[in-house]
Amino acid sequence: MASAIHKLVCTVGLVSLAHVAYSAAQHRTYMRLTEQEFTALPADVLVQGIVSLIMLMHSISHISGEFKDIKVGADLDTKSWESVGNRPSFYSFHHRGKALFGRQQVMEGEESESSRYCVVAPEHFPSAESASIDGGEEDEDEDEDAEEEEEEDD
Amino acid sequence: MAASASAKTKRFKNDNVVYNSVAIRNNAAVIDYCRTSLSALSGCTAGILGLTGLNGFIFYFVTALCLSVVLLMKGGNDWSRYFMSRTSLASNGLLGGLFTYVLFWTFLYGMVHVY
Amino acid sequence: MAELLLDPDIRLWVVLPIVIITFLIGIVRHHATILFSSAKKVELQQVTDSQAMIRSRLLRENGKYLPKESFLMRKNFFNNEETGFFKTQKRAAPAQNPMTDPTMMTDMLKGNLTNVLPMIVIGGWINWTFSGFVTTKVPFPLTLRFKPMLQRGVELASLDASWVSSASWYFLNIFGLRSMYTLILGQDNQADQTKQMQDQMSGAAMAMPQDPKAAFKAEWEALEITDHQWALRNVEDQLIASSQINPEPVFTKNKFE
Repeated sequence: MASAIHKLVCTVGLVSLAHVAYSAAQHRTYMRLTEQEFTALPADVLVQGIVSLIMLMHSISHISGEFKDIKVGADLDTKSWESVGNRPSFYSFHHRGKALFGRQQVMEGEESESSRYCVVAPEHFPSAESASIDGGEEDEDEDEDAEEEEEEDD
Repeated sequence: MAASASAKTKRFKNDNVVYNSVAIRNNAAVIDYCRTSLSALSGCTAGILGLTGLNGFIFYFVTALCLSVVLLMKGGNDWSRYFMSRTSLASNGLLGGLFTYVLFWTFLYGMVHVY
Repeated sequence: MAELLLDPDIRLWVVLPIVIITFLIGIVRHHATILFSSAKKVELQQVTDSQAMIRSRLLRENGKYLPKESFLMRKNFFNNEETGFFKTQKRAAPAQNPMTDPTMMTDMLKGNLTNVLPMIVIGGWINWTFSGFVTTKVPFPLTLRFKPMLQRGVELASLDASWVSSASWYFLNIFGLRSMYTLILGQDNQADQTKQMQDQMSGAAMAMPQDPKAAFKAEWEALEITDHQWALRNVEDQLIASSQINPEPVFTKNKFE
């Protein structure tokens, strides 16, 4: 919404500048036809030119886009550890949940239930999380690299 | 766990700050956009107003100064979040826009005042 | 010096067309270059080599965050005397001559076709069509040394140096509109050739060192002298010291609520 207003202001400024150009050219022609010496433009034209430039300056500084935060962790500040530390490669579905809830499903014999019980969100799975605590954020890439490389090493 | 993560980021900030090069380039591009368009537009204005000689160059630096002030206002009090230094915000591309300015100045001056 | 009075038709039919033509040609060139440019084909071998180099460099720089055995395992993968990657991979030193490589030739030809050729053709055409006009006047005084630069095609000894001929006006536009292209076409446009040179300089990530053999040797040496200093020896203590939270509730919290 705000950018629409600034775009409007910018357009108005451009049109006004074009008008100033036209009136200045007219004034120049008039001066030449009446054979007067050109000294300076009339004050209203001058003022209109300056004002439209200021309008353009203000609107362009808003149109040009927002500054971005240059700190690396800026967009991570608002996120919780659960969303940052979510690593799909470390998901494990072979855990006690199978023993706890899988039995139930076998007894009830419902196929649809099984899919729901097997998928347990990673934050409810303590071992994956505690494993990644000491790893920290800095070496997250290394961890993932490590995985790939170990596969190759073997 | 969320608390520990944010505590960690805070500590991380204190000892050494790591910058995001994409964001830095984005900010420089924003500044560049403003500078280029404003040097073109102020060139147009100077040509229309019929400034000649030294007056025109003074006009360029005055508008560039105004733009610096506007950009500083845009950056606001927390400019350090967006830029490494305040002078780079104020003076980036000051001379680079001069050629654009001269071209538009000449163009509009020729269109309005020569004929 | 008496004020020259120019015909307003020159303004409409010479000055304005030159500006518009120059500007539009820049845009057309931008799109034509995009259209013609073939995506650089990267060979699998080169990518493998460069990625191995990058991984080895990462290991040297950040290996301190790995446990010792993991570090040694990776180092062994690269540097083992018999089976190490840098030892076993034998690369022939390629003699990359741009003249012998046909793809390189076509690229160069295309570059010339889209950059140099229009420049000459359009410049010649403008010179021919709009020759001999005194088009406009720069609004600041210039010394006589600028006369040959600004008054190409108009040889008048008594004309003031600040008047610009049509051919020179075209060249002024070519150089002056460069920054306008960045404004309109975006930061990395094809209308501006100086940007491409910078890209070639800085595009290091995908670029392969010219001689992989020598690069492997250097990397092998660098990795060989890298020792493992584990940075995370006291990490648990540091973590607990740095966070103000009480450890108790963290461990007793009911995770399922």
